[in-house]
Amino acid sequence: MAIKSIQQDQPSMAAAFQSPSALQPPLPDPQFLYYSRQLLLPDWSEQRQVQLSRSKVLIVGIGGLGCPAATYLAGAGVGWMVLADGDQVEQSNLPRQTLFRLSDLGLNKAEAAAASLKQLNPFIRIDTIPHQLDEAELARRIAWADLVLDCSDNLATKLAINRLCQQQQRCWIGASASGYQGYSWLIQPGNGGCLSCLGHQSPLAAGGCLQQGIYSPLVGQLGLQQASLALQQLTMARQRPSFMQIYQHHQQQFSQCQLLADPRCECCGVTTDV
Amino acid sequence: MSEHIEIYLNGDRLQVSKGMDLLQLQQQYAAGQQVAIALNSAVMPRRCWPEQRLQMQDQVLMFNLVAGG
Repeated sequence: MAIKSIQQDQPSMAAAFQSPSALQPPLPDPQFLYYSRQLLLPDWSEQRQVQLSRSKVLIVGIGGLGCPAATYLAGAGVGWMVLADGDQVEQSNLPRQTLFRLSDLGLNKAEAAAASLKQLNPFIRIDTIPHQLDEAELARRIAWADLVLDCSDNLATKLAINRLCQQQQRCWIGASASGYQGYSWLIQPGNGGCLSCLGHQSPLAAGGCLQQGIYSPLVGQLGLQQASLALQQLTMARQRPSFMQIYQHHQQQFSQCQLLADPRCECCGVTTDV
Repeated sequence: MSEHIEIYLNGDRLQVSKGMDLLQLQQQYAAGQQVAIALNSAVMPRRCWPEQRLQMQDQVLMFNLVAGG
């Protein structure tokens, strides 16, 4: 079985772990203490914390976006995360992929990240998929998840996630960055546009870090935005329509824009050309 | 002599021909580039670009499509 639970490797941690469904308010004391600063927030509560502990999140790609996103979702208490990445940790990853250390070089990214996150929060479950997902497995994983985070580094994967989430009516949160450019998005199927509405279908069309380099703080910021949007999405009843947050480097700020639907979109459109 | 209107492109003030649409704007300022366009805080589907004529004081964001992560 390719999926391996870190919990199985750490029996001492297993005692501290409770399955999300078994967790009932009030929170056990160790968890209350762990999440105490978050629980102090005026709009947070034990109920919201328990809701988060019952959430299941699939993160595709554990690189510059996935590392910060997974770190803050784990710290916040998302109960069950699956990390998918088939790549190995390389030296050029270390400046921005903050879950990894020199000692992780050559290790699978999903497994190295899971080991690091388990040291951060022993109260959650983290599974790994240490290979590239094919479309069938990706579809199954999306069906399992309450929310999907696309932290991948290529347009083909992003478009596959877009299409499968649309088919399954599953909300997903993505981001892209290269050079000094980047943006994040939340796609809510049936409520606004999707990634394909932008009209770029060719995986070769978009530039990546290998061609254009990457400004590390930007990709970190985008990963944090994904985590923040995910926490809101997982714990709030209100559904937000699809939108993008676009980084404008010359102004060092993000602009939030609604993502309009293309009625003739091949992925989410309701009408087709005759 | 053609009439012009003033818009903002990525925060910079710009004079463009009256009646210009988003596709023409992209062809003039980002020809050959894979870009997306947001008009007044709404990302516009590419298929809608030819139908979307610019108006005075429109705020346009034109940004390159990237795929890194």
